[in-house]
Amino acid sequence: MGKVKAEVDPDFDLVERSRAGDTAAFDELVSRHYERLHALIFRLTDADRCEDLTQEALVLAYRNIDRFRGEAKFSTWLTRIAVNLCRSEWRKRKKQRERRLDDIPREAILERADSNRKNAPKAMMEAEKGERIDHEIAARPPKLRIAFTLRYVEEYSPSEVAAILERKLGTVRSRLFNARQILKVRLRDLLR
Amino acid sequence: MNCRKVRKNLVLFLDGELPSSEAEGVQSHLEGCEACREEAELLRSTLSIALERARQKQAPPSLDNFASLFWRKEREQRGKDGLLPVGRLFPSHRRVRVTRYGVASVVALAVIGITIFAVRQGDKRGTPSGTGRSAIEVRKGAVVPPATGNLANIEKQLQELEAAVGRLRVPATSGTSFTGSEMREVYAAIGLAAANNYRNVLDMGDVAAKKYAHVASLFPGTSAGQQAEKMLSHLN
Repeated sequence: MGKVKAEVDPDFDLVERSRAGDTAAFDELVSRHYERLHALIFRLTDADRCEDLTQEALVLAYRNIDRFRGEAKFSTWLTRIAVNLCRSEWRKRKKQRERRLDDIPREAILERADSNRKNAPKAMMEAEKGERIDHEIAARPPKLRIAFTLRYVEEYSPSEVAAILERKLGTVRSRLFNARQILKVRLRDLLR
Repeated sequence: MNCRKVRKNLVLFLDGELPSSEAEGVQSHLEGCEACREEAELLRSTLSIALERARQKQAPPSLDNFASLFWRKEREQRGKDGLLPVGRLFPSHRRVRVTRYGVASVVALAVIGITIFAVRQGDKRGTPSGTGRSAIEVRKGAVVPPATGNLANIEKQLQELEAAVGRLRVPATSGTSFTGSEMREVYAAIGLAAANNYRNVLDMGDVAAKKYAHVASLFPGTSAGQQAEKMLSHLN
C-alpha cells in the first residue's frame, strides 16, 4: 500500500498525533483547512448553512481519523468528506422542495410560471446576468457541477479531482467535457 | 486532424492538458478552420464569464472562534446520535457501527458465531459435537444458549464477557457513547473470549494460540490484550 508520507503530505505529522489522541494537533488541522473547506462548501451549496456543514465535515474527519489510511493526502480525504456532505445536503433540499411543491395548489404554480414568462424579455441588468450565471452553474447535474467547481474554481489538477472523487481520470475528464459543453450552450447568449 | 477529433480534444487543449504532439495538431487545425476556431472561442469565453462570476462571489468570512465551535459541535454530535464509528472489526474486516446498548448483543453474537464455527470445525475433526447446534436461539439480540452439549459452556463464557463489557461501562467518560479506547477494550475482550473458547471448550490449543497472538498484537495495552499475551506465553 503506497502511503502518502511526511515529505508529500504536510499534514502527516499532525494526523499521526491526532490519531494518538492529541486534540491540539487536530486543532491545528482545523485551523489549516477551515477557510479552504468553508469556501468550497459555500461554492457547492450557496448555503446559509455552510458554516455548519464545514464544522460537520471536520467533526466527521475527527471521528473517523482512524480510518484515514494515508493512501491520499489528508487534504484530499477531507475534501472528499466535504463533497459527500454537500451531495447529501442537495438530496435533502431536493426532498424539501418536492414536499413544498406538493403543498402549493397546482393553479398557483401555473400562474407563477405564466408571470415569469411575461417578464422574461426584460433587458437584463448586470445583477440579473450574474444570477443567471449562478443559476446555470447550479442547474447542472451535481456530478458535473462538483467536477467543474473543483477543477476550475478551486483549481485542483484533474488527477487531484480524480483522487477526491475516487473516480478514474478518464471519468473526471469526461465530466469536465460535458460540463463545458453545457456551459457553452447555456451561456452563449450572454456573450452577444 | 479532422474537425471531429479536434472537437473531442478541444477542452483538453484549452486546459493545456494535451500532449504537445497532439496539441500542435489541434493548433494547426484551428488556424485553418474557422468553425472550430469559433467553437474554441465559445468554450473559452463561456468558461471565463462563469469563473469571473464564481470568483466575485466570496464566501462570508468564517467566524473567529471556529476552532472552539468545532469542539462544541463535536460534543453535541456525539451526545445526539450516541454512535461512534468504529474501525475494523477483526478478523472479518467488516465495518460496524454500534451503540453502547448494542455492544452486549454484538459481543454475544460474535462469541456464539465464533463458537458455532468452531463446533463445526470440531465436527469435521471428529470431536464430540453435542446436540445443541440447532437449538441456538437468538431473540432481539438476546442469546439463549442450549442446555446440553459443548455449547452449554458458552453461557459461562458469555457471562464473563458481559461482565467485562459491564465493567467498561462504569467509567463512562464520554456521555452516551464509547470512546475509541473503550471500544478497543470491547474488541479485545471479544477476541480473548473467542480464544478462550477454542482452548477451554473445544480443546483446540493451536487455534487458540493463533487467536491469542492476534489479540495481543492487535490490541496491545488493553487488559484483554495483556491477558492474551500471558496466555500465549503459557501455551508456548
